[in-house]
Amino acid sequence: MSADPSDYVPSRRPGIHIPVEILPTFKVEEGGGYAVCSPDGTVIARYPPENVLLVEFAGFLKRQESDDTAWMLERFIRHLKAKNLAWDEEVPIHELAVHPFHVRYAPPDEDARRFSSLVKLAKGRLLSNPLIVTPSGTGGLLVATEDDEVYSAVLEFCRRKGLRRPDGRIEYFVIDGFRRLAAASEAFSSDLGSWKGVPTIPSIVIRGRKGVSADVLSAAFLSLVLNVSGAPDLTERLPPSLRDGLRQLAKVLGIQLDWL
Amino acid sequence: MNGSNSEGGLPELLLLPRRPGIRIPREVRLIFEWEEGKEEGYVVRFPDGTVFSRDPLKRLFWKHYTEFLKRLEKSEDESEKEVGDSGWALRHYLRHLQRIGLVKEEEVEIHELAAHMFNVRHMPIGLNNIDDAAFNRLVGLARDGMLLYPLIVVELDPDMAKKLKLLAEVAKKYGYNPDEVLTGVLWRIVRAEGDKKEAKIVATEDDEVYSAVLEFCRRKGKGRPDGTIKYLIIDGYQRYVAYCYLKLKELDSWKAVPKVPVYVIRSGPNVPFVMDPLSVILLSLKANESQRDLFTDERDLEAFTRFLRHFEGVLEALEKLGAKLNHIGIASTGRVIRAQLSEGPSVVSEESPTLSQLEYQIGYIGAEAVQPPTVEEKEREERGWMRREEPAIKEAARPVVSETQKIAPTLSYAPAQQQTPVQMPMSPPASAQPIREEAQRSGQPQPVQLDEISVLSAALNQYFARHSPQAHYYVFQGKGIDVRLEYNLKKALESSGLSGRSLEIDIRYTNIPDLPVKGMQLRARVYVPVAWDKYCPSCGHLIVLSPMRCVFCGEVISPLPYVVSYRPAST
Repeated sequence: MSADPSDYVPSRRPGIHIPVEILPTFKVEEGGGYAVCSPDGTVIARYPPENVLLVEFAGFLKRQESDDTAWMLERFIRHLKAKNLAWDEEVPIHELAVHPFHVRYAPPDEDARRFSSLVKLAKGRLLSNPLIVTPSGTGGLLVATEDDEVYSAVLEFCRRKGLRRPDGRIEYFVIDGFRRLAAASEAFSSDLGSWKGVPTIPSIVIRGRKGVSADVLSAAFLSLVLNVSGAPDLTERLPPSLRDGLRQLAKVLGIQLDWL
Repeated sequence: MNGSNSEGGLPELLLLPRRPGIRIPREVRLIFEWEEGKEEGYVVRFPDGTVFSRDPLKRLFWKHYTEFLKRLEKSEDESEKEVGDSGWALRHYLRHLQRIGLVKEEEVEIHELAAHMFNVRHMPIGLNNIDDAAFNRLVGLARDGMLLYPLIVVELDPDMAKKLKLLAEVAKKYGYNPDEVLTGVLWRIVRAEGDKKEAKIVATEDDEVYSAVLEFCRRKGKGRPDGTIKYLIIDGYQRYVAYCYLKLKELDSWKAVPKVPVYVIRSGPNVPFVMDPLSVILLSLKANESQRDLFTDERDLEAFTRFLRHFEGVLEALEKLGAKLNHIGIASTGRVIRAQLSEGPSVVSEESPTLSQLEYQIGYIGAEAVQPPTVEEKEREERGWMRREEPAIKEAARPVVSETQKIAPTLSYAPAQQQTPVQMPMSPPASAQPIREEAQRSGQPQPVQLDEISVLSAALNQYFARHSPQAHYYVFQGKGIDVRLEYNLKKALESSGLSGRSLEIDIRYTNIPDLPVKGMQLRARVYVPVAWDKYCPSCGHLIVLSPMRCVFCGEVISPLPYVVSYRPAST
């Protein structure tokens, strides 16, 4: 493996390199929708158009043409809630992991000073906006190990309190709020003694219409638009192959992903 | 005020405007002092001793918030205890207030909002001076319906209106234009009305948002709203302005007065807390930090710091409040900002934090939207704060402006029957009013001054060979003898058959060197579109686009949008 950093997918954990060879590719399918494939062509996931959240959003926008508010995404989420495709939930902290297509990639401690200010916010109980998450859709295949700081802290808390040991399943992927999650994890893990229960994080859970999880393109899109106004170059950290693949996919699907 | 800015002395003029070109004078800066004693709290006063506000600790919003936290911790309900332990307790508090009727979720009309003076976001944004890339991205989001979080606003109650009126009076006392000071603070072009009992803040007809709403109501035959500002934005100032920016360009497509979703924090005598300055600062900081990690962005942190350093004693007051409430978040905020003050730039910039001309980002905004700073704004900055009395010589030198010319040609809301667009002025200097009013009174169109056309012609001849000005340009009386001419870009694009988006990736604006005209030595600027990243191999300047043809696709573009301004070189 070459040492060239461009050969790696940016990692959210310092010191860990993810080789580009594992990057998925995207394939537009006949009749609309798309498939996510492994590098050897194996289909990992298939999203017909009715399962693509952005198609739902585009339809929603068209129906709302007469109402020209800029806060359509907020209305869309309310609309999803009404259709039981989204809901508010207090999610136990150890059930959360970051979505692979979350555009924030910088390891939290890459810039300790920046990150510490978020940790202070969490400690000061001053966070106000919920995370946006989607069910992992893995059927419990993803499980935190006991090496995981968050899960091990939860296990320790349960041991002390005599509570039942959670199984460590990752139930949700964070689409927006990776750094807030990391900051909260840091704040909570360092203050285990003060826990009154397993910490929960307010989240808006969004799922696809038929599938359990939102499709990856929509997840990437949501993550981008929710982050774009504050930071212009978030996608620069995405590996070019992934970025180009998403862009191509978006173009073919007729979705204007200007931020990519 | 602590930190490096206190020792070096504050600049004579302080700058925390939300409108480019407006400066908030030093005389109206606010000083925070914690007061111990019978009724503990803090006072905010002007340097001359006039008290702006005095709020007892027991009524502070943040005091009530920490009491909420304590109640949660003591709760018998395990889930409530967990909430008290959560990093998101602030969110739970706002929800709690919503349940008991002190916060309501609603949609309010666009003209009823203004920025709260203690909202920490204070990036100067003029609707004709959109030069910030982050703001442009926000406009793109707004245009695409991608805004998610409602604004957080507080009701503008008579008590707050009185305080703002007081601010205006102190400014007036020192010879400054009170309306301009209020405009710089609240972003909307407003004035204080009423007496001390019934004070209110009202948008003037110069205000772009209000005048657009008036025009819409006129067209639809609806009742005219009175312009009273009802809500102050604690979080979401930039989102609001981005929305205004979009809506003002699309007046023709309005089906109703645009509304903005907001969380309203109620205010007034029946509310147990007050949205005091420190609480607003904290809430604004926190809402900005958590949503987009802005506090972790160097530029934003610097911007917040630049804002807060204009309030003397605010950090000490924050730390004192944090200690009194035993609230780690407040105390750490004070410490973080104090650290930034000691590490950050030691000199308060007198310039508004605008990008250079070459850094203009068009982004999602159509080419029509991106205008360089107006010359009157630039020159106002150069000359410093304009006292209300201007030298007589400048008054005399002003050209007479015709009825059709008297209004700025910036954002156009042309009544259907009118051939020429109605133009909405940016906050004109008070000193310009006599001439404007005289022109209005005369009611007769005055001929365009030959010199103005000469300058324009010279500019066109020099930089736009064989291009002759056709219709669609107007003369705007700027400050003093400055004259700004500009095309109505929207019209220009329509006539060229091109949409704004077709142009946006191809052009930027810049200024080109001074312009000699008919032997006259003029100091002139011409803002013209230039090609991105195309530089002259000889002198290294950006290359001006051909006025008639896009350098990328060859599409003919006529007429071309530009801005010309000038004044005698000797001034």
